[in-house]
Amino acid sequence: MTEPLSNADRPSPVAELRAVSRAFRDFWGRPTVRAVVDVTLEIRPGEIFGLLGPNGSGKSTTLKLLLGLLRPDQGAIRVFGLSPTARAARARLGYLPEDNYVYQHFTPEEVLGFYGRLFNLRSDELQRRIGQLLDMIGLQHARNRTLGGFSKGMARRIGLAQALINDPELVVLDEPTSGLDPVGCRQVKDLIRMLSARGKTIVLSSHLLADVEDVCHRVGIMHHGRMAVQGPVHELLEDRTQGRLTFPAPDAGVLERAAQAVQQAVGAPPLIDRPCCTLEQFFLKQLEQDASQASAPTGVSLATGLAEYLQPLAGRLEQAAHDPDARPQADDPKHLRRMVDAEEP
Amino acid sequence: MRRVLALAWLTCLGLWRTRVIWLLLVLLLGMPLILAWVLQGDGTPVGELRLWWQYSLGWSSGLLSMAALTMGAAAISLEVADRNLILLRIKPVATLQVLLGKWLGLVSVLGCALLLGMIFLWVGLHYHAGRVVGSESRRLLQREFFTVNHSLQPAPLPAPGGTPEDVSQGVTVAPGATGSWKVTLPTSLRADEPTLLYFEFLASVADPAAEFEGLWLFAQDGGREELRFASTARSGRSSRHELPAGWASPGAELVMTYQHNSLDHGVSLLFPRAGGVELSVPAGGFAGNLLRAGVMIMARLLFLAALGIAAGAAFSFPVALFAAAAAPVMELLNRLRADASLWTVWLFGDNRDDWTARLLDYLVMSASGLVSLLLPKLARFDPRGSVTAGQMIAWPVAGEAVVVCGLYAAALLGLGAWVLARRQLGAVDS
Ligand SMILES: Nc1ncnc2c1ncn2[C@@H]1O[C@H](COP(=O)(O)OP(=O)(O)OP(=O)(O)O)[C@@H](O)[C@H]1O
Ligand SMILES: [Mg+2]
Repeated sequence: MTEPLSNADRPSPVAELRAVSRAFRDFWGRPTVRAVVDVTLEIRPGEIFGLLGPNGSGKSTTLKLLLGLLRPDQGAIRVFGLSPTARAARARLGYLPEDNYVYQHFTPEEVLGFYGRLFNLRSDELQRRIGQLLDMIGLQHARNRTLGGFSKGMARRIGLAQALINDPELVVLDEPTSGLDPVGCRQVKDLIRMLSARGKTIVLSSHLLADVEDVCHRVGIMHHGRMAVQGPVHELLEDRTQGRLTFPAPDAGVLERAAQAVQQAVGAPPLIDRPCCTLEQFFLKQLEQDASQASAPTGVSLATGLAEYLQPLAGRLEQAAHDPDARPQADDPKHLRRMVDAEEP
Repeated sequence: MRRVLALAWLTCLGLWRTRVIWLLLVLLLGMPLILAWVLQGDGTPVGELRLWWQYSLGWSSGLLSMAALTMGAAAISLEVADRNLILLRIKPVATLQVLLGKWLGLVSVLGCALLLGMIFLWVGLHYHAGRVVGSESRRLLQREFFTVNHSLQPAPLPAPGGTPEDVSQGVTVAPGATGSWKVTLPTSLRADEPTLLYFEFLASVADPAAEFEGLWLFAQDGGREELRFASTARSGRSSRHELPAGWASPGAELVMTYQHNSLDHGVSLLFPRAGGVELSVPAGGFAGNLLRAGVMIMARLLFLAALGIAAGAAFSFPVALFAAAAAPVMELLNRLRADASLWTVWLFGDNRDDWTARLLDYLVMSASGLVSLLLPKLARFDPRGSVTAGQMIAWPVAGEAVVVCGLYAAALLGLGAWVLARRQLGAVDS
């Protein structure tokens, strides 16, 4: 872990909530539920921040407050140093809502084109981005089907593409992997990492702990509207009282000898097991093997990468995608900024 | 502007994809066909044609007005309900631009439908007219339907040595004497169709069948008498005369004189100021008038669509539709304001001294005053009556309709944007 930055070195946050509270009220103005209570949160440039919490703990409400979709009862919210409702702030935002709000009667191409035009994108640039985004989310073959007939996961992917059409600096994803198949989850997680490697800031909410642990630099856990705890993932999870060794051990004899050595060194027998791959890794491997016999696609296609306009340099991103250790340290956004800036012409 | 156009395009495409446009067109074009099938006129070709025209035009403009209100009310309220507006809220587009885009898309669709409907009616009209046989019928059709008239009210002239007060109620003509009127003919006067004179007088005779002999004299530009013809007419009955086509010159000043020749009755005749003497001057073609009528209908649609959209920005769909539809209904009722006291009569009988009746009277009057303040005078911009009666719709009136309705629409869209921007779309039930 790197040392925390002193206040003077700390870059100004991309978004911040200061002691924000929000209650929902009934028709007569009486509070029915205090969805967010005294939440203070700072999102720093280039980091991936995860909001965790059980159902109804106030994650979505917090994100909506951050986006200016709800007004706080108390507290202050800034996005890029501006009010969240400022148009200049919105131009630099991308948002994937919790539910899929899609125009049922339009095709992906039309919907993405529409949102792109709202950002005043030139039409050749827009066409290029739409093509790349559809490749990225694996829906190129469905570009002329109307969204009404899309499965939940397919619609989710369109939502994701819509959030990225303006190449936003701050991406807010409310349960990005909900409804997605394992391939989609993996892709979204890779995408999040790659966006972060490009210097984008990402805030996401989820109750899939493994997903959050996988990608986030810092997390906050919400409960009953309050921020119970927040901090860097490694710091929160690390158990400083234990250690682990991993080494090649094709036969049981090697393990036994190593265990004896450890017992001699620390005076207590170690716990021995063999590492498993995760079900996700296993699933993905099976799909890859099966890809050769695939017939006409009905859902999303496999084998997609990050849209070209979203990536600075191919090699850098590939590294970010496949090597979890290469992911940037959130605590050092300046370092990350420097790296990305140096790569950009 | 690109953002507004993107929104407008999406709105049009949405209406097409949801088949709303198809339904609108089927209703718009189908009904005149059905009407042609079922309507029976007074037996004359002109009557039949006029009836069909009246109903078809009424249907088209009524249907489009309803569509403007409904589609307007749905445009924003349904997007709020579908949460699509949440995504729009996150994009760098102002609420006013959203409303403007929706409105633009909607009025484009309505405008195209109106144009199509008008062309369809125009073709239908000529098809109908082409089947009229007999030269007299055709001539009548030409004069009474396809010619558009300026209705002129000549100004009464006081007798030599008299004052304008003498003729403030109208022109009184003693037996053997004359009465005169003056009028300037429009420059658009057509030389190929006759001008029609309508006149009506009142005489204090017991016998309603009593006939009065008279002589009409017409002079142009203060010159010599140029046209004269005798007339026989009864008290309280409108009479009609044709002045030959091509006789009057456009823009000329016309002095018309009536000579009362029925000395035997010994009574004076009063030509009332309103409706005593009227000239129906052929001033334009049917197509031009229809075009102006179309402009006026479109102006109304601009307003109604904005009304629906503004209501939809504030309320959920059913409430918005009800609120938007209530406004024109109130305007309609408001036209009966003169008869508003009738309501109290209807409710309380003749017992008008009752304080409740007076209170109600007061409430009705204030409400109607408020309505007339808030809404444009839609009835003034309803061209159906004029088009059916072959009355000239002047460009200034059509222009006024566009300006007034456009201003009201702009104000409504501004108001709607203000309300919508204050709604917290993140809360589900907002
Ligand atoms: N529009 C609303 N009106 C009333 N109450 C609301 C509204 N939106 C959210 N709430 C309440 O606020 C609380 C927090 O809701 P929120 O949607 O933020 O939870 P969440 O953490 O996102 O839950 P989930 O994991 O289920 O998405 C809940 O009790 C919810 O019922
Ligand atoms: Mg949620």
